[in-house]
Order: sequence, then C-alpha cells, then structure tokens
Amino acid sequence: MRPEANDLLNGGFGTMLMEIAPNLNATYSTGSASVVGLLMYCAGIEYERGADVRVKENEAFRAIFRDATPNLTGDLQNRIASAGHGTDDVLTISALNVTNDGLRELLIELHAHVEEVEDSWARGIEHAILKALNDSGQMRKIELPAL
Amino acid sequence: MSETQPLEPALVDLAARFGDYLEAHMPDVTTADVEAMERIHGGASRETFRVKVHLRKDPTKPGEHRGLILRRDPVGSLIDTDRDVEFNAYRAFFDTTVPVPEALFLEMDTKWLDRPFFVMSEIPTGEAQSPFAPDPYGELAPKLGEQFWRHLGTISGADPHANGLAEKMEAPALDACWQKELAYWEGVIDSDQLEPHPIARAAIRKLRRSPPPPAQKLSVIHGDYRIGNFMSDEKGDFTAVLDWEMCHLGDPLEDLAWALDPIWAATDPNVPASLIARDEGIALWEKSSGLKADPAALAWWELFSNVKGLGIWISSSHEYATGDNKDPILAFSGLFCTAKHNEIVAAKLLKSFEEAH
Repeated sequence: MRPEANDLLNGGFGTMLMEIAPNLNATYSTGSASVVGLLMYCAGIEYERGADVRVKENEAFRAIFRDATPNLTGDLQNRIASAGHGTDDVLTISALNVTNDGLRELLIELHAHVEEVEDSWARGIEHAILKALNDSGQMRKIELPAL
Repeated sequence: MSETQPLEPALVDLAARFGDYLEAHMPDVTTADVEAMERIHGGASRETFRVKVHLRKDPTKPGEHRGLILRRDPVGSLIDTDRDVEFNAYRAFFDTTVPVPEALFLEMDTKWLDRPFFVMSEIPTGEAQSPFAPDPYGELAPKLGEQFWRHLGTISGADPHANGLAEKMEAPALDACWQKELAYWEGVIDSDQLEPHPIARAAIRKLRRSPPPPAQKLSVIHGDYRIGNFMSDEKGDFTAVLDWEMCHLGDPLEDLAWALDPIWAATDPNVPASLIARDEGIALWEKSSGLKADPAALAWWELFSNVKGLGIWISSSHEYATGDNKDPILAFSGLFCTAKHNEIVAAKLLKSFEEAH
C-alpha cells in the first residue's frame, strides 16, 4: 500500500495541527483537534514499529527465561521453561499483544522471585531483566515533533 | 471569548440552567444572564467552562458583568477525586500569598446541572503553558522559576491545622505518608491496567524495600504542582495556581518530587518545568518552606512520583478504552506519558542496580 498508513497518519497530523485546529472557533475544540493530531502522529509511529518492538521484546524475555530455567524449581520452573521456548508465529499486533502480555506477567513473577534470592545467578537474571526493561523503555519511547 | 458570540447550541441548555442556579444562590441577585459560555481545557478530570454572566439586583438597571469558571464532574475522568477536595483547597489558600481563584459555590445536588460541580471566579489575566512546549517562557523563565518554587515552598510550609484542611482531609502519621500514597497508586494500577506493567511493578517493589524516613512535617500536598497547572501573565507574574483536585495531606517531599519530575521538563531534565535549574529550584523551595530536601529521601519520592505518574496515565488509558470519556487527552496521556515514564523509570532502576553491584 502506497502511501503507507504511517504516511497517511503523518499527513493527517500536519493537516489537523496546521490547518484545522487554528481555524476552529471554540477553544476546547482547537485543543482537542491538536491532541487528535498528536495521536495520529503517535499512531503513525506505532504502525511502523509496533510489530518489530513486540517481537524483539518477546524474544528478549524468552532468552531471559531460558537462562533462568536451570536455577528455578517447581511450577515456576515449568512455566518459565515453557514460555522460553515459544515463538511468534502470527505477527498481527493483536496476536503479538496476547503473547507479550503473557510474557510480561511471567517476567514480573520471575523478577520478584530473583530479587528475593541471595545468589549470583539471581543477580545475573535480575540484571538481564532490568536491561531488557530499559531496552523496552527505549524502544517504546515517543519523540514528539518540534512544534 | 466575545460576549456577543452566540452560545454553542450544545451549551444553550447548560447556560440557562446555570443562570437559574446563580439566581437561586446569590441572595442579592434577581437575574443572572449567561452572556457567554465556552468549554475550555482545565484538566481532564472535570469539564471546565468559562462563563460570562450579567448579574443584576434590579432588572431595570445595568448590573455587574462577571467572569466565572464552572467545573462539573464528567461522566469519566482522568483522576477520580472528590470535587470538594479542590474546592476546599482553593478556600484554604485564597487571600494568601499563593494566588488562587476565589471558590464560590460547591453543589452536590444533581438537579441543577446533572452532575456535581463547583464555581470559582475567573482569573482575568494570564495563561497556562503546555509541559511539552520546548521553551514556553523564554526570557521570563528565571522570574517565573523563582515564583514557581517559592509558591510551592509556601504550600509545603503551610500549617494544615491553621488553614482548616486538617479538619477536612485524612491526616496520616508522619511515618505512614509514604505507605498511604504508594498503596493508593498501586491500587490504581491494579484496578486500571490494560496490560501488565513490569517496570512499574519493579519500581513499586523497590520503593517498598527501602522506604523513606518519616515526613519532617505533615504538609498540604497540592498533588499536581507542575508546569501547565499555573497561570502567568506577559510580565512574568504568577496569576494563579490551579488544579488542586489531587490535594491531600502528606510528606512535603511528595510535591517537590512531582514538580521535579523529568516528564515536566520538555528539553532538559535538569531544568524542571522549563524554568530554572533543578538545584536552584530546590534551594528556593527550602528557603520558602523552611524545610530540608534530604537527597536520599527526595530520591525515594522522585521514584514514587514516576510511579504515581504511571498510575495516572494507566488510569487515563483505562478510562479512554473502557469508559464513556473519549477526550483525546486521555488517550494521549495513556500513550505518550506512559511511554515517557516507563523510559525514565527503567533507566533509573538499571542505573541503581549497576551502581549497587
């Protein structure tokens, strides 16, 4: 599809901010139109990178799970081991979100668990989790355009 | 807003009913004609309207033209707060050195405007700026920065027993302020999250593992003191501190940390609110409040502020996605601000871990 959805959204953002919002009479509507323009800009970014971010996050979390599995026990070990060997076969955002949400839940559980373990392997996993979360924060950040 | 501009059709009924309310509640007024009314952005948690009214004692003679602000509860909101919190805060600080509008009426009866509301006087001069504008104040930044931190210090140093707020708000023990606030915002995230938030959860656990020292005093906490929530004029003078809807009593470092949060610094995190340098602001706050900003305690409250921010943004996402309020500012807060605070918190947690190990 050309122009792509992110191009369309970026174009809409410009039209909304530069042409429509300034010509509205009501203050509230002007503000709302400007924010809708910004949302279109953000949606354009997400359209372009959305699947990539989720696939990278999912794989980073799975890698941590594979590293952690040998040092875990019981039910947590089983669930972490299973999740560590998953794959993203369907690349729609909705499908990736379901997987990402599940992996995030497990990551929270694993993180809380290793924080309570006094051992070097646990510090290593904790460090890996914090690096993955920092990477996630960087990948998902949104730079607003200079207005 | 032009007084001759016709009312938006959607506001004609509201304007007439508001006029009826004023006539019923202002003893000396026989007619209250709403000459103009427009909705404005005044915080996403309440519907805010700027109103021009013509108040007459004698219907045959010219009366007084007055500007009012009407704040009505929305169907859904960014922040779930009681409207009397904000009303009482305005009353407590009216006629002090902290500029606030005069709070006039608090109405809980839904027969007047369908939902509870309150009314305050309009501040005639000044405007608020966006937190995300790159240089909103230009050469006025130093002058406004001095006032920004001085007023916050005045709020922090105020005695909630003397101004009456201690009688109207929960007063936690000095060593329980942090627990109360952290539990509240964790509860908001628990109830409103649309997806798991491992960064927020890690921060909450870290805050619980190493609590701050007891508050040095029980202070009035504005709750949302930042750029965007004050008005200033073209001379660089503060004209109003607004949006007290999250006001409560607690540790004064909570407000200081929120004002310092990098999310309110569009270009340089060391220049909070895009005004003056962080260290300079903290020194002004200490001088004005008579309190100390212990670095370790302040660091705890700054991480807490990040979590509180995430709570607000997660809640706004929830409201937009599941509620009746489709105000786009809710979606923008949920999208942009969540990403921003996640970025800030994740970097902070990683840095802290690597420094400790």
